[in-house]
Amino acid sequence: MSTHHPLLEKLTAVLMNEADAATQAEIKLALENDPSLAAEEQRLRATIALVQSELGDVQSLAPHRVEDLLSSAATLSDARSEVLTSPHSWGALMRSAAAVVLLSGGVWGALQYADQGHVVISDEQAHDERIASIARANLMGQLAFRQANPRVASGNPDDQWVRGYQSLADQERQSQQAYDRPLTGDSGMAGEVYETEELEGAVEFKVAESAGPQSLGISTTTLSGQLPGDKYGGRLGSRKNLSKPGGKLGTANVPGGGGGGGGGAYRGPGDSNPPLPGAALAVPPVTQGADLKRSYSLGATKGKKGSSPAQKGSRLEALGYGGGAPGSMSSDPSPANLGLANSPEEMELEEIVRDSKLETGAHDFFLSRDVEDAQLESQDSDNLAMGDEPVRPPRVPIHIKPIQDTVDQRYQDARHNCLVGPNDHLPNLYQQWWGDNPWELTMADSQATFGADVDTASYGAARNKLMKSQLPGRAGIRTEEFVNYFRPDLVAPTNDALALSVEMAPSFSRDGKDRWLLRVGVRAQEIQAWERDPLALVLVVDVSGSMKQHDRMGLVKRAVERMLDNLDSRDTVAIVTFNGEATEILSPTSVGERDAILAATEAFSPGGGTDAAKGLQLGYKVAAEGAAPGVISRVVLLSDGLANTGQTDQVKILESVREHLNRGVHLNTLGVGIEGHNDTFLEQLADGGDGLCDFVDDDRAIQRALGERFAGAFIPVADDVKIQVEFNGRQVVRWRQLGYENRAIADAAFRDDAVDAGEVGAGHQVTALFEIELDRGLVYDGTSLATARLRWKDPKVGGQDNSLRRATERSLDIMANDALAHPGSTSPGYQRAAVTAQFAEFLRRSVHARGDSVPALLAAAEELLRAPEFVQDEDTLELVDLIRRATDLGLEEAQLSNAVQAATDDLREIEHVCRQLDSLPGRMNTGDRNRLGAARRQAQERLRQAIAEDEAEAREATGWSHNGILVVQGPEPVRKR
Amino acid sequence: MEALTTASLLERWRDGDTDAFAALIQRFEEPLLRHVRVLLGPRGSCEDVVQETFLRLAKKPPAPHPDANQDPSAGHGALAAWLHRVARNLCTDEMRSTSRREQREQAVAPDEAVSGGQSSVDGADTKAAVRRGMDQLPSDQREVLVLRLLDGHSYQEIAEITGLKTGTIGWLLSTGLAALSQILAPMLGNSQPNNMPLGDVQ
Repeated sequence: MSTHHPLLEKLTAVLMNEADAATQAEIKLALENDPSLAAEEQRLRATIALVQSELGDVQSLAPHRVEDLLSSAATLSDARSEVLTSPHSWGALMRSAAAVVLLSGGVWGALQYADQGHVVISDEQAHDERIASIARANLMGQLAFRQANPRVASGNPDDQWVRGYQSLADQERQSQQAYDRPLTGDSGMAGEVYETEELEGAVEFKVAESAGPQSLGISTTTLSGQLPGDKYGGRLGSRKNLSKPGGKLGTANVPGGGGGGGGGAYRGPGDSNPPLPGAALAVPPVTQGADLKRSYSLGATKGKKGSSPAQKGSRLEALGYGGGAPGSMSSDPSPANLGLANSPEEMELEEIVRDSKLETGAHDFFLSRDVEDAQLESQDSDNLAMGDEPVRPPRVPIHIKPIQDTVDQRYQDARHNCLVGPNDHLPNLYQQWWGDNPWELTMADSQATFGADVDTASYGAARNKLMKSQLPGRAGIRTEEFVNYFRPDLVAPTNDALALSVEMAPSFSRDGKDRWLLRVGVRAQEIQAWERDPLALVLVVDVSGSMKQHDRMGLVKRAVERMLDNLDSRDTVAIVTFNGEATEILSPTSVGERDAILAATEAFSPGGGTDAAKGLQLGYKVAAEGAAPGVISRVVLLSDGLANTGQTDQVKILESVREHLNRGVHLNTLGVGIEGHNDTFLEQLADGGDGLCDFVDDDRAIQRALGERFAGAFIPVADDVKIQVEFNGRQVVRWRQLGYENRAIADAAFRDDAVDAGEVGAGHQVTALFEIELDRGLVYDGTSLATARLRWKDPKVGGQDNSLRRATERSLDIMANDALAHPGSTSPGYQRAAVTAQFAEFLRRSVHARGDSVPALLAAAEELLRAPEFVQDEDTLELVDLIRRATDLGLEEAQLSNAVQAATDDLREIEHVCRQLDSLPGRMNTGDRNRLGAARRQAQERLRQAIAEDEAEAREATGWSHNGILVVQGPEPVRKR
Repeated sequence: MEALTTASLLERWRDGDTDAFAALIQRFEEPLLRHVRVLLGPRGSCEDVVQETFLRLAKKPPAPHPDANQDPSAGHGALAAWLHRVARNLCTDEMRSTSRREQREQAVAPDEAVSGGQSSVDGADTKAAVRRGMDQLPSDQREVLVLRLLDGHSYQEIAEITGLKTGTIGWLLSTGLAALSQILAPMLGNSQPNNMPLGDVQ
């Protein structure tokens, strides 16, 4: 029953009293003669009655909202006019509204209000209200600070847009040249493209869009247009740009010139399929569309095949496709149309566009990482494409939109990416926007719960870059890995596996606020060589072809040697090698036979493929055979990287790693000689195997990873180590955690021992830092500021059931007495952690570091070297050196952003603050609301302004006029007709 | 105050009479809430939007309709259209989140036909069933249905609110109504003829 009566619309109009006389008469007649229409009328009437009776219930605003409105109105009317009606005529509602106005002092006067508040409301409420108003004042103050300290930097246009236009211009020029060059040789395939003069009648353009990996639903949309005989001047593109957002990879494709948009494929009548770089619809840099594939099929062409295209080449201007212009990638992203499109299909499309946009905001933190990946991928595909035969592209001139349209669209998109949806999870949004943990209001969330992390790879990678005089990319910086890089400074416990300690002092003063930096330290027991359990190691060594390079085999051999130095005759070592196949070249051998083991390493002869799965499989088999109670069993994977392992293989490998872990076999991974230390799969493997991932590229790194940190890497003392810090909302207004962004655990899962968390080895130290804002400064009333809790399980043991292990929990209250009045009185380890964390935040371009001073950081770092502990410490010396290098490389300038990004960030901050304020108990008063509204409007205006300037500059820089026409230097090439 | 025309209330509020403003809230909160709810779904921040709408009315009330003195309904219609337009724009700002859309779809998910048939639905559940039926319609149809059936706006007024043409509104309304009548068929009694396919009649 999906079909409708042809008179349905008119019938409805009659039922709705909207029909004219003629229609009424028509329907009246039809109703008499057509029983089916009469039945339809009955059903419609019944439906209308049902809807009206069931849904017509009374709805009204909550009383407090009405009060709020009326108080705003009263204020406004006071301000606007002196013509006020007499107070006596006010209704009861108005009187209560007036009371509200009197009671709720502005945010600015929050503190004063608090003192009066006790009179009318209970202490409990008063306190909550007070804290809420302090939180409000904080948030508003934060905004005010930001507005007073704009973070706009250079006037250079956004690089991405310049690159986008550049690439379009290149494409246009290439296309022009190719078009003008006579075609030599037999190139019949392309010939068909030029058959356009032969086209008659309807030409159907089929835009087939494959959504790539993120299959997004709609797969095909057909645009058809009637193109007159030989003119083809119609603007198909103007109908609707059905560009398919392909996820986050968009930016990568732009620099590829002709390859933009993933390469267009042209399908002529003969179904030949040459690439069509000229029409490859370079997707604008910021937009999506990496996996965009389009094929234009000229379905109704009747022309002859094989006639010379160069002579007949009409211009396929019909493809002056708006999709080529930056900012015009979506059908119509203007919020005014969202969800309210005219047809369900369009609506669905728009939702897809909108969704993809959500993931790919122009300035989203995680975009940068994806772009790096995507660039690598696109390089790969470039290489592949080089083998293809060159085919001459057809002439397809590229038009881009007039500047005002693009500015409007960019502004709409940008504004869109700043909005906070009603159901957005604020911390997630914050992470997505800035990659940082947000300031949490203690009222809303009082607990931070996270798993211990002892990785340090991020620091090593950043050091590598800095030593090469480059600032490292922001995405690779993990604050916790920086802080945990250094040698332990806390006292190791002797009667427990782990010990908890806290230290607190005023934070590096930011925004002139009363902020404190809390350090929660976890230190693992030291285990001396003589008291540890025997180790059974299985080394799984990559001997694929790539290991020949850069003395990687030499590094492996020296790493094995260094390992042996820390082992003794109780321990055994076995060696498995793999390339395309896996071989056990040394069965478990006592370390007493050191020479035999070293001799085995001499036999490595690299060559062939990289089948890590096989290697690990055999390694685990050997380990399982040697498993015995009281023996620590570990597989150690040494490789120059498994980044190229396929996704399915990765999943399989990880599964098998976890399975073996349950039988007590851990996995460590050692990346050997990898440029940039950027193999996330090696890290994931080690995470999955409850082991450590290290990267070594010189003897010093080997010494560090397998010498100093040997016990930590190979002797576990605690498993599933979780840390929870709960702040007392009566003292701490808000807090934020530095780092551990991807180690967060649900607060409720802290005591759930089934929830997996990090493993900690002997002698390790884990440091977590929190910045907190206090309500009234330190209060020495015996209540705690916060409680730190630590929970762990005994480590897994080989050869026995690991499902039931003892869990231990320790906790520590942090009192005002624990806080030190001056940062200078803290321990050197605390100071170094603070400096390191701030360094990491600068490198991350963290939103929290904005407004902070790099020179001040450098000064604080240099101050560290005055401590007797650090004066000779090479790690600390190196840290100071790295900070100095980063400063010289423009670390401070890197904090600033271009005008568009700064304006976007400002707007986002305002939207974010608005939502946070909404979540507080009590009400926002009119003054604040107005202030916020004004701030939002100003920020929006600044954003539009910044975009307009940026767009103009980007166009100017690349030769596009405001009207979207490429201004060609020199004489216009002669076109062949 | 209730007896006053909308236009005169607006006039008074423009002169600073907060009682008039309170009366305007009372007069329009219900249709606005209904309109906003249909756009944002049951879990949206509907009250926020309506509150904000009234706040805009407070800050910058629109100019009165020129014919308002002669034609009270024109004055009412003009302000109604203005308020609904503001609310609608605020809604579109709110409607961008993926999670929102997913929740709306989840809310729609229980299919009447599958979940045990509506003939067994008792009175208490009728409202919910009708609501779910509405939720299954595309949002543009839903919006037009609510504006017409529940708030009694004319096609012309709906056109002013939504920016659609009246023809489109007629189409949306008839399509939506027909779809709804089929979704709710089990609740409508046996008023339909025996299996006569409507589409076959020509």
